[in-house]
Amino acid sequence: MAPFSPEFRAIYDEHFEFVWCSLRRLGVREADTMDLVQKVFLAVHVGWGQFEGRSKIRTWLFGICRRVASDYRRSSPIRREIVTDAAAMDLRRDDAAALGAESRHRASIAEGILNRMPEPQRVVFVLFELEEMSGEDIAELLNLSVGTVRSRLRLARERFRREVKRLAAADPIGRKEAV
Amino acid sequence: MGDQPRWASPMNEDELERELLGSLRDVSPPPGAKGETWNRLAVQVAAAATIGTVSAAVHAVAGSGAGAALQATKVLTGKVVAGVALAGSMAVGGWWIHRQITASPAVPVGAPVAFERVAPPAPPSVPPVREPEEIVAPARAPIDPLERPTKTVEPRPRSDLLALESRMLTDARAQLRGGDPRSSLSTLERLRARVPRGVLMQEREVLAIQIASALGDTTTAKRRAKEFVDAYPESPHASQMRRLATDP
Repeated sequence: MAPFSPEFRAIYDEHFEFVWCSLRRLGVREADTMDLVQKVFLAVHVGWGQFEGRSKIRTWLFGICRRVASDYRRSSPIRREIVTDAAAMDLRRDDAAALGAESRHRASIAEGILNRMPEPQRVVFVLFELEEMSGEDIAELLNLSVGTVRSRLRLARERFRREVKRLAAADPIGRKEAV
Repeated sequence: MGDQPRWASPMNEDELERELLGSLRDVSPPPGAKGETWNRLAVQVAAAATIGTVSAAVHAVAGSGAGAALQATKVLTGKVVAGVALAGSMAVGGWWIHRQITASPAVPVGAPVAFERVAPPAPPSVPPVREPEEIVAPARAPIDPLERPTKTVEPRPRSDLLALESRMLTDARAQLRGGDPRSSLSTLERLRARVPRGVLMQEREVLAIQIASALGDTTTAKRRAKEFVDAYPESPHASQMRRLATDP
């Protein structure tokens, strides 16, 4: 196989973090993310010749991330139900000491809610609420109409709010602590 | 839509929602992950070259697009694993691979190359996932399984209904976009008759307002847009409807 071109290296350098974060927010556990990032960039390396530049490079990369993450989630559905490894992730950080058990617990709850969303809703919700992309950008990225993006966002928000309310009702003390 | 406040922002009055979403914000890679991933990638590609899997992978990817590229990586990864296993020993191959990597100016040489990572777990042989379709409805019924803990399988008719609702809405939108608001209205009426209280009622109402506007009935469009905003102030459609209601 041809050695890595400077162009490929530049793509890797520029988009590594985007790919990593995208996979994490698409439901990939921290412990598995490196393997899947590797897989994404391998696909980029192999498929670079087929990229015709009709879409933005990020759109193309995000498409690969979605397929890899879907594959991952489908191959091991049990992972979706396991409490996430947000705790392990946080502990690697310099500010790990500052993060209490409560905040890690919150992260795992939030990931659990996202993991139970249908994937089309989850993707839109993540891109809008966490990546803070505009509806128009999401529509372009996912090749959807803006109306569909709005619909998915609404359904995802309703689901998220319903789950949070249920959690709060089940554990009013937890809600108070979270505040 | 882009001007809507995000739920993780202080604009959201529900602190628990804000806190939960805020906890998900930072998922950036840990220090060193970038270099390590690059090294692993380089080892994998070099190993593939060593055992001559290039042509198969490139041939497989010749299809086109990201999906084909992913298929190719599966072939590639599988063959790398098989090839490494057949070799029995990494001594000679590893030396060659190491030379390949360290000879490449694109690869950082600071971090040690871990040869035991040459064979990552083989990816599952799952067929490529289809892109989500243009429909709004989720594949399953929108009833939350947690609300009905005794039911693990959601009733299919509900799901079918949502799929129908979504399909008809998509059709009506396309008709409106295509400059045919009357057909769009007719599709919407049929939808209203078949699914009077669907999950996508907000979307139906938004489309009805857009149709009224397209037909020149701005008074009705403005009135209904205002009613929509009053009824669903936090809806993702609200900002668009607000604009329509206040547009001179």
